[in-house]
Amino acid sequence: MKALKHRVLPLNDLPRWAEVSLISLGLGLSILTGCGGGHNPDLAFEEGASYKMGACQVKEIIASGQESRLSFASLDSVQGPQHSVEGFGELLFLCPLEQVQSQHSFELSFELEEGGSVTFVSFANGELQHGFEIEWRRQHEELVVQARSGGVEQNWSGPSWAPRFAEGHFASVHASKPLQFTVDIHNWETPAHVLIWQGLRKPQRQTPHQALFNSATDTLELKNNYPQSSPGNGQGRFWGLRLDGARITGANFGAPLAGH
Amino acid sequence: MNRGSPFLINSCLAFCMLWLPQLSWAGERPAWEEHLKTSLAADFVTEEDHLWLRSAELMLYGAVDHRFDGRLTLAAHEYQGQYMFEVHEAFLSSSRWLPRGQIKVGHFFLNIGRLNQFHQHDWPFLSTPRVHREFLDFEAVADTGVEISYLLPGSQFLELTLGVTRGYNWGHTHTKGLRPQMPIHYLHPNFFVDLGRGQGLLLGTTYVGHVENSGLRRSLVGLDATYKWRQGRVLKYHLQSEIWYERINPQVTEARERVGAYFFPEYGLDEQWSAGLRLDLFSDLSRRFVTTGERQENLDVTFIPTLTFRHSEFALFRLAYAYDLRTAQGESDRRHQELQLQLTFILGDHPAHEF
Repeated sequence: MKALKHRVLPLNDLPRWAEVSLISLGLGLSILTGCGGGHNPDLAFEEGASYKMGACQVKEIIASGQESRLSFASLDSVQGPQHSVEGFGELLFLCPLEQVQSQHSFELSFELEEGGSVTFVSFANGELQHGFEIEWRRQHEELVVQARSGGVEQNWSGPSWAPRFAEGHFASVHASKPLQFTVDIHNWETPAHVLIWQGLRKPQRQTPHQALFNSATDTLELKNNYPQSSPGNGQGRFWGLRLDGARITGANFGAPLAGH
Repeated sequence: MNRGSPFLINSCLAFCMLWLPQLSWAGERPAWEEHLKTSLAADFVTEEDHLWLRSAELMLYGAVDHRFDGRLTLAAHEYQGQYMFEVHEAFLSSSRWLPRGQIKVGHFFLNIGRLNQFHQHDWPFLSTPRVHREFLDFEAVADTGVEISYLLPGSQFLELTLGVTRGYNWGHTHTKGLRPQMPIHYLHPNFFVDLGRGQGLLLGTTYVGHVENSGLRRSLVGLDATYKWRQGRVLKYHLQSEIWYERINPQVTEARERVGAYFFPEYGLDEQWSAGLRLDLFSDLSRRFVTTGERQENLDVTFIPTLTFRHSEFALFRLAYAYDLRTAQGESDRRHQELQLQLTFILGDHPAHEF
């Protein structure tokens, strides 16, 4: 350490390039003060966006000339204001994702009527278009799960060549009961890498081994012989839900459970 | 990068274990076997408070015949709790076909920018710069194709590199991909200036273009600069920097633009110790509020002071502290800090890099 101390470069002997680097560093530090804070219209209270699910305000997307077909109700929740929503319509969550090429985890709780469906739309634009979609549809006791993106559709609940999932990856899920899923969408991979766990996020880090479905390994084993592990990628930063005879009791998002 | 398979790893390891020892047997060997070199590298880093093997690399390289050289690099990475070997590089190259030029055919790291040409254990710092991870991959973009480098005549060192690769995938992926509408194509001119007294400056600029099967267009433009001042056996001053701009046009939505850079000045205290400070900058130029459509200002900054101890040419230890700050207009700042350690060792004849 003594020898090291004697060899530290005195500041007045810095070469020009080091001096420039330090100045640039100082400028960079000053830039930091200019980005945080300020007004965020997405988080401001607005009429029609008085409902909150998880940490996000939600806004119903209603086409011009149409009327709302969603009904909101308050839930008793120890975690604070919480609503359920049921009926037919689209919800936009006013918590944009970090960026288009990023990865997030989403917790969804819902119930399906006979023939009803919930479509989770991620990485879409502000009108829930051009995103990565996962639809859960109830057919009696069976759950049909389909993924869609960029006009490409894949049925992920179909039979698999893998003996353990011969009847399908979602065969053990009863569609008539309340459903809970945690979904990782890794939209920075090409195509998007999706993992679906049954149940909500647990304190411990959940591994891909415990997932109901992992697109990286399971899609290519489906008997549909899809050429890609998932339909594609979402092209936006927003997410939401599309209801068709369903009731949503919870929705939230956070950091991904699986690393990649 | 695509994952390997257990069959591949077992086959390659069995091949190496059974075949390589025979080189030491007594008796005459073919002349080309005399030039075969092997190198193994292991790279350990800390993540979430525990040390883990980030990669283990096996490289075989040497002269194939009187015109061609070959290289095969296998690397193991952890995936779902298991280490899977995958092919990082498998190519033929020759500097004997084209005067003042080199041709490379096969699967290789693309010669774009600065960092993308190097294996991660050869980097002057521990972690992947933000811009490199976002635009390229955790380690490097690799693909199968052909690359030509040509040294222009004249007294100045000006080299042009042109490459075309399949482009079925870009960056991190778990699938073989689909045929692109336009393969990956890139141009990377390099200009080297010998400043004398052991100083050298390498400047480069890169253009990359690609159109995926879906019609998504990707364009990247980059600048890279590397400065070294070697005094005797000590790399006294070292500066490495890259700036990248990316434009992605999905066709169905508006184009997205992002920009990022890293700067890494490093000072050599002596032959074994060096200290540096890396600054990462990143911004999404297309980020907008959903309710108003207005642009949302944002800037992510990471400071990483780094201390490196090179016990020898073949073993190094590195300590780094990463402070990550993410800011966006109208949102709370997000901070993350982490202490990082690295241990890297090399066995055998690791090929030297030109600069």
